[in-house]
Amino acid sequence: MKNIKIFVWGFYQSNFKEFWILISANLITGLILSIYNLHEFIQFAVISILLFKNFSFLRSQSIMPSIASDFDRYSWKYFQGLPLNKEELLTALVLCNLIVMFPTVIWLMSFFSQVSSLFDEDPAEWSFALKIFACLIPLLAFISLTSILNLINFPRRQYSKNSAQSVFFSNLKNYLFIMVAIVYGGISCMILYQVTNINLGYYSLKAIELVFNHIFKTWWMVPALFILALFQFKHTLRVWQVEHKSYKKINWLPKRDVPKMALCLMLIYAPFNLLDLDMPSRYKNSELLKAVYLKDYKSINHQLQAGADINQVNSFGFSPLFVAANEGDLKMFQFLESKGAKHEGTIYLGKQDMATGLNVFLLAISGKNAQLVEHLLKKGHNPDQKNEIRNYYAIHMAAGSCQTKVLDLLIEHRADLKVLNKDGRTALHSAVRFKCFGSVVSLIDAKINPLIKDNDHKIALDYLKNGSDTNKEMAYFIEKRTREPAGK
Amino acid sequence: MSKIISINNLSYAVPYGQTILKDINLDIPAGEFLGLLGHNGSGKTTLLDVIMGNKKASIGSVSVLNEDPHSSRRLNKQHIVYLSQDVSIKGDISIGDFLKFHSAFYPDYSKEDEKHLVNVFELHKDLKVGALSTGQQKKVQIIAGLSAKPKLVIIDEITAVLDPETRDIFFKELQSVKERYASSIILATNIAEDLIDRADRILFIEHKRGMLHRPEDIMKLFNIGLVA
Repeated sequence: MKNIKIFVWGFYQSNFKEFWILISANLITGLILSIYNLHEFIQFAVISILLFKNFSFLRSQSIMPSIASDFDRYSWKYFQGLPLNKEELLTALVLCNLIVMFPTVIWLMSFFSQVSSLFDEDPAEWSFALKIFACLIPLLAFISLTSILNLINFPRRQYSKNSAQSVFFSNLKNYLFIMVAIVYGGISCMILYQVTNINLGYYSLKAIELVFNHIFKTWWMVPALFILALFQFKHTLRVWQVEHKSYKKINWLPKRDVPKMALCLMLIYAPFNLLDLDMPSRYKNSELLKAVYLKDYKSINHQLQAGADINQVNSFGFSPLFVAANEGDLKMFQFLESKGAKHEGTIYLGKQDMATGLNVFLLAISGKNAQLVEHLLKKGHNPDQKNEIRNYYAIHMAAGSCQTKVLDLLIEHRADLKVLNKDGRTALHSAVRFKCFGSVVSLIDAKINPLIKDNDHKIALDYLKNGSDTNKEMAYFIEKRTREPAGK
Repeated sequence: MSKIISINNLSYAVPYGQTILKDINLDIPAGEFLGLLGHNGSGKTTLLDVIMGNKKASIGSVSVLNEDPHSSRRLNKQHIVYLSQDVSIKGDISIGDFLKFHSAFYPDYSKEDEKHLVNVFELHKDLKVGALSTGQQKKVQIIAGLSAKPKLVIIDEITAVLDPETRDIFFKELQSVKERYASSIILATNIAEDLIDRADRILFIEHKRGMLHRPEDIMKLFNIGLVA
């Protein structure tokens, strides 16, 4: 214990200047930004610079990287020479790394509102600066990953002197370890989502999508990635080659390695088995919902006979009828109705999910089956149903998802064309923003007012000013059909 | 005389790889200066790593200050000082602060010895460690190590980066520590002249095996007739 204290205190003292400068900078900037409302871009730049500084501190002062290389402030050998036993050394290193993380935690606390507001927005609406920033994160992660792979492919000199098979098996083991880390990282994201409602996986995937859209979707990226991959695995390929030639010389000790590899494979397989990837996560935890999704009438009947509740709902609010609506399965929907399924209720899939707040009618629109929507309208459902949580109407959904047939049905049943969503937008705004020409035609034909301004003071046409030929055609169509006769 | 190190039938093989050391037997009594010689890649650093407990012997037993060096519950490591070519200390920390940090681990650490060594090596405590040359950084390591009144000093090729004058001072101070505290010393080096008139015995590692020699035999150990 004494040695740990000495180590941690000594480490703190050697870093305390930069440590306190960063903490002060985070706190003072957080205070200033909470008092003065600076321009959004300046705020973003200041917060990003501070984040970069915090990460640099984390990277340069953290002790862990020096285990892998001698480039950082203390080499691993230095720690090995100190009179600490292994437990003490590991505890001290963990504590020191926690100290190094402290300024980043202060950064997060200082700018929590800005950071959490980031998770409220849909990535599609992120500002340009944020998109660039989002692109950088996975790019850096990609570079780091390739560096780690390099480190594994070119380990300590001692290992490179070894015979080919040991390097090969060492690589194989490391790849398995990495896969375990990736799988369990994903599971951690899911747990984080359950606990804090922050869907890190969703934002990471969106950020990766942005990278592919903005950076990787270029003609030179494919050959560049190919060359990179070739260089990356050149060593492994060479090892394979040598290994193949010297097959008889293999002096592998299966007793040592097989259990480790088997454990890795089990660890990788276990969560996938539990996750049941064929099934959408929102229908899980209920055998009846699974049966509805899989259209397994036999199982549904069997379960109902065994006493299962036809109106049971899972933790997201999905009942069997909701699943059928969401999947656009009219036959199943009618079957469940015949068994006494009720239409009431809404679903909740988390703060960020656009589907949160959908009821059975809106789910049917989401299921993209016009016949099912018609069936519900005939049953007396109101065409002006609203998602009370996300604040949009059935007509916004139909217009924005280019379901012209459903939109026509709603119009036919006298849906209100003046309804606005949370951003003050009409169904026409939704149609033009999602480039649904068919929806635009239906709405203009139904005499929707194209001059209604949204909260950003934009009429639908304003969203078509720049862009593709489709946009120009839509703009031309709207202008032509809504122009007042000359001389009036 | 009490044994500081006792090695019996030690073999070390890299996991799944080649054998580096085979059947090494060695006893080092208190106050002995053992020179460790061998060609590049012969296993000198590996042997020191095994003695330090950084690597585990594949076969055989090792005892250092009556403890298994690979055991996680070592009490006597504070009497061992390790000076290595692979140790690097960089960054914004001053020499004074580094020595303060380092000294806290060693209960017998002598501030007087430290002051003396800082003077003889002509360093200033205010200098930042990161701003020092490689040789100067090794001087800082030497000061930190020799001030700890060690029972065992393990040195791995640290002398190669020291200039001849500093090397002389280093050996003088090493000799002084050995005499005052009856310290045992193991010095692995490629500069065989360093061991002439200084080492009590030489362990020459060749073809994975270690052979003990008298210091006067050093000249015959390498094929070139004269050592490098």
